[in-house]
Amino acid sequence: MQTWRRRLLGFLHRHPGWAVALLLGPAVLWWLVLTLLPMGIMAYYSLLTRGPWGTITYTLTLDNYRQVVDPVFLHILVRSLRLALLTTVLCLAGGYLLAYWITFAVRRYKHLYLLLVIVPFWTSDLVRLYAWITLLADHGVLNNALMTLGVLPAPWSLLYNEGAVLVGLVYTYLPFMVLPLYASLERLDRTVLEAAADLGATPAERWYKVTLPLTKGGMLSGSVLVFVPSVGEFLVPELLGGAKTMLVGKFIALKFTGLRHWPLGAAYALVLVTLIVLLLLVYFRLGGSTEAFQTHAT
Amino acid sequence: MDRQTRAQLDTWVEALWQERMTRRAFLQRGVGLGVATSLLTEIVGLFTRQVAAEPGASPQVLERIKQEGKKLFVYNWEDYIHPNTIPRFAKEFGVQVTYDTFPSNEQLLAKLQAGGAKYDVISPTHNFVPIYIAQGLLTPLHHEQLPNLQNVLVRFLNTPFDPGNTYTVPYGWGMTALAHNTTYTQDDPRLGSWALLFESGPQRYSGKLGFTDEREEVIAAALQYLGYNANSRTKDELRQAGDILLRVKPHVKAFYPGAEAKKALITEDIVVAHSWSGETVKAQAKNPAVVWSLPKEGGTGWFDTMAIPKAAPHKFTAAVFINYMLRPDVAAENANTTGYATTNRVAIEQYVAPQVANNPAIYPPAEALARVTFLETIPDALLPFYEDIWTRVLGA
Repeated sequence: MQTWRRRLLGFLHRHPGWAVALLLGPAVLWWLVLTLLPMGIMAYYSLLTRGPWGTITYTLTLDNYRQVVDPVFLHILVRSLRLALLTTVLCLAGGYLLAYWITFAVRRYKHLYLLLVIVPFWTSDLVRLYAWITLLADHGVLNNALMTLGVLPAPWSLLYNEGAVLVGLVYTYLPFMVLPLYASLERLDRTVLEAAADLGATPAERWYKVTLPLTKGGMLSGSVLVFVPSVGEFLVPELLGGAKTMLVGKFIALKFTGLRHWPLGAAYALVLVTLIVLLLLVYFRLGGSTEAFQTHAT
Repeated sequence: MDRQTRAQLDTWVEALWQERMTRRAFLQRGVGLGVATSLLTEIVGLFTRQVAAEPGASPQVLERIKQEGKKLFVYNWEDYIHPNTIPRFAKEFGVQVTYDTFPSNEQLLAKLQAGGAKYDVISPTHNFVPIYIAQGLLTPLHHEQLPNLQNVLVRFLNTPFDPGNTYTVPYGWGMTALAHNTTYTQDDPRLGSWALLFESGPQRYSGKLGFTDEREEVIAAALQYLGYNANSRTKDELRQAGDILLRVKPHVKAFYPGAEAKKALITEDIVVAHSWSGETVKAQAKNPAVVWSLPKEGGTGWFDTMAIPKAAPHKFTAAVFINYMLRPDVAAENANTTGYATTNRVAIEQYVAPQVANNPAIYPPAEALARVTFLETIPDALLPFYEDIWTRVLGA
């Protein structure tokens, strides 16, 4: 056993290339199978031709990309980006407060509070969104309660509008913001804060000049985790928006289902992915490059 | 009780006898053991439970079902079956049935096209059937396996959508027209016309209008309001229909997926709606103010079918199931609860409850039926234009 282990270590020592391969192997495999392969399949489909009745003909063409320039798509894309941005900002504000509170104010059972953030994930998001319908409907829980109390004379239209979609998005993606923020706040070196206090910084200054810059990494990665899936969200606008607030996810889905044009749908999806990647690159450039995925800054 | 449990219990009884254990401890442990054993039995049962076949089905049929593995995967519309229908089939033929539902034709088609889903019985709507056939997604039926097909009304057989019923048999049928709440609409001069939705809607019921999210049916309603044929293929007329829908959209509460609109009708979140007949009937059962109206300009009609996908793993069992669904008593049982009419002639004649058979929202009288246009398949060449109108309506 010992000799076997020593021999392996010796081998890896003499051949550092193998060591690197062994260390990176699982991650690369993960990336290949779960990211590159599906993307590749989609890229391939986007170059195929639609046959009669929505079948797929294996003739390569660039035609689908020529069709992508559609003013309706642009309009819907802008709406999706705007809603995703709003979602991110609201999640960042709410998530920061929550993570800050859990980190600094909660003394006992800290993990219980974190658990409470994650618990909703244990049920299907479909069920959770139906719960929101029950809450927000004209004769739902909230309106009925407010009318019984005499606060409202008639139901307030809360459901099936952009506001409801925003509520649903913030609700769905808030945990993605809280967890990285909590991680970066938790790892914040408290002695740095003490030093700032010793040097005469007021609490507000300590937060603004020390805490905030040191948790930028968490904020950046949390924002990416919220923004990216919000742009392509399908279920929330469908259920809470009453299918009236079409976002880009539904637009692309309609290419597959309504138009039965899978290659065109794939082309749109790829264009969307490319756009988001470009946006992220700009974002990282502005936000301080590689810090994005560090949960603590040094 | 297995041997180990009994042995454990014996030791404790002995201990009790010799007064090494108090009576209370004995009871506590006994209950604990009982709970644990029944849980274990339950879990084991989940893996080993066999459904015993009822006597009655012929041995040859049972033998072939057994060869296929006694399993069946059914994919049907939401809210579209009597709760006893599946359990009864499962019991009678000893089959373990997995029952799943879908909310729209597009979703069903996309799932079948993707190829991953191995369903045995699906229920596409009549005007989608030609697409399934053209794509080669269905298995031809063996009519000798479906003797109950003779029970079906002649007008639903051998339609242009599936000549000779090579691939599909009819299931239920229904209409899409207006549902409205008389508490709000009783003095509306536009009652009995699509104008109730498209003209009174924005004025009197703004924010309380509902639509289904079935593209063909929504566009057809606008076409009928404009006085055009529900199956119009004229681009100009379709464009006008799109404009009408865009004009009414700011006043619409939602385009409800599947059977969702029913709840909103019951709670009066919506008071005038483009609605399926069966959902209206079910809503009315809960809220009597909700009524069905087939406007003077006409409504649309559809019938759902049962078919066996090409990739179905249990094709024979599927045929047995379809034949079972065509039985008059089973068809009537479904029709009595779903709010949709059965296409089964014998069922209507012998089994359907009178209050159902006399409901004009389910079995319309001849003069009303004359105003129902059955939807046709959108020609493939027109689809991009047609879909573009729909995208603009939803995306605006």
